[in-house]
Amino acid sequence: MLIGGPTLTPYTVAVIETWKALGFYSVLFMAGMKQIPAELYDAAGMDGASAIQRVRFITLPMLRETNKIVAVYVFLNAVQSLQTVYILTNGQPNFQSHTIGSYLYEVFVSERRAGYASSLALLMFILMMGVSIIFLRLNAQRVGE
Amino acid sequence: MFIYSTWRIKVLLLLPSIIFFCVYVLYPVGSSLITAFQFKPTYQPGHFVGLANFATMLTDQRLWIALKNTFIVVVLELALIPTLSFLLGLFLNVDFRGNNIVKVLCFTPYVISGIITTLVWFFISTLIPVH
Repeated sequence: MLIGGPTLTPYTVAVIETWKALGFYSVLFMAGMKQIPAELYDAAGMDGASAIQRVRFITLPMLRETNKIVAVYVFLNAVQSLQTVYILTNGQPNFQSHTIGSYLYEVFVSERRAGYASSLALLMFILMMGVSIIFLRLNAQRVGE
Repeated sequence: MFIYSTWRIKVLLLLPSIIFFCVYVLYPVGSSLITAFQFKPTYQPGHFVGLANFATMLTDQRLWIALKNTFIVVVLELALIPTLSFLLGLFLNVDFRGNNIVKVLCFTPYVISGIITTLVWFFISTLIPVH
């Protein structure tokens, strides 16, 4: 089984969420691509750059800001993935397939331990805050060079 | 034009959103911060236990499994989503016949409720025979 096995569920969750979110993030990328001035492509065409080279050396570097935002969005949404896990397996078998969001929900609703659930939420908040600050810092340094 | 941009009117115009922010964001965040240091069954009064909840966390085997699963999900999504959506964006930026239809089809799963999309995939996965 793709779903319900002890180890395969997180991979399935990632694939389903990718499929679901693809449209939204491609809209972000398309908006970024619309911002790139056409002169750059014209100049590259003059210099005889192939289509792949144009994408590699013009589109990708010009989309750096979009990339940064998309990476942070994807990370935050991936950590918070609750719905998908809750519908697919709800942590079965034997709590093997929980992510941290669905485990928090399980602790709060089924086991009725609000205190522990709140401290899990605090852990989750610190995790997300820390990693997204690191993301933005790293990218800021690269832009500043 | 700028007759309305006095300090007092700015505050007055910001007031509703500030009130909503305090009631629906600031208060729950603060109260869950306090609850994090309490032993508290849901909907019942609790008492402070200091850092005991965080000590429980260290020995909670289920939490470590959950963190491992979250790590898998995060890494896979960070690898898949930016690359695939970049390629899809490149593809959709080219003008071809039926461009808008493809755009709509790609955006539809994001608009539909997550529960429904997950259930659809659940049913698809049960169709695959496994030996």
